[in-house]
Amino acid sequence: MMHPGDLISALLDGELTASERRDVLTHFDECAECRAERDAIAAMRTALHSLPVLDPPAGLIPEPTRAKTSWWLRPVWGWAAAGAAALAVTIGLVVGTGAPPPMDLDTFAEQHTARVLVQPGFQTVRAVLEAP
Amino acid sequence: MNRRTTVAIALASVLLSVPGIATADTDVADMLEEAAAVDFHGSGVVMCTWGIDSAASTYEVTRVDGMSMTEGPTGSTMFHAGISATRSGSDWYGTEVEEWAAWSVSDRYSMGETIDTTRLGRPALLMTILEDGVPRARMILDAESTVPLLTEILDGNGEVFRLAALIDFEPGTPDMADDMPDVEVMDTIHPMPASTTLPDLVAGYVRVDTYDAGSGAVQAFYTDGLFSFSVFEAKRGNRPASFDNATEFETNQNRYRRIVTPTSVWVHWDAPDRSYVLVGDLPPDHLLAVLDLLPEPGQRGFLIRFWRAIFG
Repeated sequence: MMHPGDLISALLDGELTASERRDVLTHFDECAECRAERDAIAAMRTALHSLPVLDPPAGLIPEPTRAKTSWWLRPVWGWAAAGAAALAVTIGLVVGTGAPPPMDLDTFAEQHTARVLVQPGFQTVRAVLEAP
Repeated sequence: MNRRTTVAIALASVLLSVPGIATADTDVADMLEEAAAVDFHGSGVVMCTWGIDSAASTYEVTRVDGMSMTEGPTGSTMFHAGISATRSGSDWYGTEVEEWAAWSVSDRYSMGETIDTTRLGRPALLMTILEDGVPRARMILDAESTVPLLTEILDGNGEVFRLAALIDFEPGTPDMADDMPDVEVMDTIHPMPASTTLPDLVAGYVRVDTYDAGSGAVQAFYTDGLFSFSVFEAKRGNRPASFDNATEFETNQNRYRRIVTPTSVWVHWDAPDRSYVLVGDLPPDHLLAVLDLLPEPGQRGFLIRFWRAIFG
């Protein structure tokens, strides 16, 4: 097997099929480079998830004077932007995360056969006799 | 009578009256149209082999008054007046193609030598279809009706990839001519000419039609006049369960899964943002050349995975 590349990330996300997972794990037994890449990705993900949320130390960011604050940095606009972002994420989660319908091979077979048969052909059996 | 019909009949007359002549200049399209218009009933076997995969099936085929019916162990398909239909119990449900492009055969094909022979105890003609001068298909036609009694499709190594052979052949109008089934048209396939990014031309195959395949999927139909295939492009999603244990194969360092059935080959792959199923009767060397030019398989990158996790 070649180096699995993006399959490592998919493995950590639990998105591989049983055979793909078996292939990747088998490859890890033979390839120190990919094991290291897997460990690095896993470590990075763990680190990202475990990062604490810190408040910046006082004085790190100079307090702007009210007279120099641009209109788009004023609190009302910040809250509006945050609200819009939250709305977009909510819409995305509600509307966009539905799993796509499975590919219907029977329908594909019927549509392909229907199109094939409108033109002459030299093969005695031109219809798809069965979808897998 | 149009020109093509006139030429086809003239060709058939030549073939029948002077068997054994070389027909390198014969128009393949005319010969196919002539053979498709003959009434007969027969039964046979069709098989397909690609590497470790092979599949075979028996079938019965009937042609009468422009209607053709093919019956196999798993179902029946009928075609008449632009409508194809499948049988469910005693009923037939039809699918109608709303529009389709004109048909033509790629100029890479030509007719080879014609040789007298016999098949099923009948006078017959062995004909070869050449692709750029190399045999791509061998056919034994019934000399009287021009119906193909045996068809062999060759792969890139000259080995037989698919074979369809009639083992019983009865020319003439079958008894069922007075008992044509009623077909209820349930689906119409609508063209969607501008809804895919799939290429117009791949390895000598032209994308002649593009259709709505339902549920957001698109069907792109390619043909070179002799072979044809459809590529179904859909939103990236779950792989059909039929492919879970399918044979994996690799071309151009990309991996795919294939299922060989008696009459066609099915291939599935996931590109980073779309999923694809290809189904067709093209030989393996053609198929590999086609896959090399279609969207490549691949996993989603981190950012796409993150984006899709949120927005689908």
